[in-house]
Amino acid sequence: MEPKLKEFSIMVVDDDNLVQKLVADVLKNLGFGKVYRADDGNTAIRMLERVTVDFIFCDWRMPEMTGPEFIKKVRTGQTRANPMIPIIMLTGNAEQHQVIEARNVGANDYLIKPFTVRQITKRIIELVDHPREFVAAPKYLGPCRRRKVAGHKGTERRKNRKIKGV
Amino acid sequence: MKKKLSKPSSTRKKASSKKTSAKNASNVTIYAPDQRLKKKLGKGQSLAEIIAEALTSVSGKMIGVGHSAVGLTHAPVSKKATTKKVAVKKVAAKKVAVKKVTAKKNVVKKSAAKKPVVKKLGPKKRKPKK
Repeated sequence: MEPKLKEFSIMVVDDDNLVQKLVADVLKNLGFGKVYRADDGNTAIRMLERVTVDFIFCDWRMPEMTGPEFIKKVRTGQTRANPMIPIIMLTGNAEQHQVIEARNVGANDYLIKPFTVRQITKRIIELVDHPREFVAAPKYLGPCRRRKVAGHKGTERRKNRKIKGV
Repeated sequence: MKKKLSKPSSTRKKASSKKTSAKNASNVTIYAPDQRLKKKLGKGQSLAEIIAEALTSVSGKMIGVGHSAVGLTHAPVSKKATTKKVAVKKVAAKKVAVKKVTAKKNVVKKSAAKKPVVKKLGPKKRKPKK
């Protein structure tokens, strides 16, 4: 077990107990410190009032509050959690429009079921080693959606941007 | 009737995108990437290296069990599959052996049947009287 990984705490939000347990077991066996489990969005929001977490794994289809709704609430600051917290969407929905919707809502990454241990670790590494800028625009709140390193050929459309430190 | 020429679609799109971009640009705030998680790790090994070590330490072990929708299989499934294959092979080999035997028999029969029967023409020879 790596002692450095023990400092990370993760939350898994999923209505399926088996998936919840599976993700939690995998993360614990890899050496991550605390893994909090929530059955739906409302429970997760209540838990976030008491604890601070470093990442959130979130399902799409859940009772009462869907995954995108939960992400919106976190990003807009309706919860006590840090609005910039990395959120990974963990779902069986693999349609392109659904991936785009999750991205537009503010999800950092997207992982489709069935998943492997390597896929989970790859997403976490990407979030920690290569964090993206956080964009706050009138219609969008979330990580910068320009993921490619290739430069933008057109005119700079964000001339008046202000860069703030966290 | 002459048709009116409209502007090509590409020029129209360009004009509209310029307007929207000017509007959006004014209220966009960009925050620098969050480095808190990196700081938690401290200097030295990167997270990729740490996780690679953790993965090697648990390789071959069952670290989580789920149902088929999650996409996990377990060892007994592969064992059963191999024993079944062996059984199928044995049966197939026996069948082939039986076929070979029957084929040989046929060959013998056919060769016997194909012998030409020669009919002698003309009057029958009478046996000489003793």
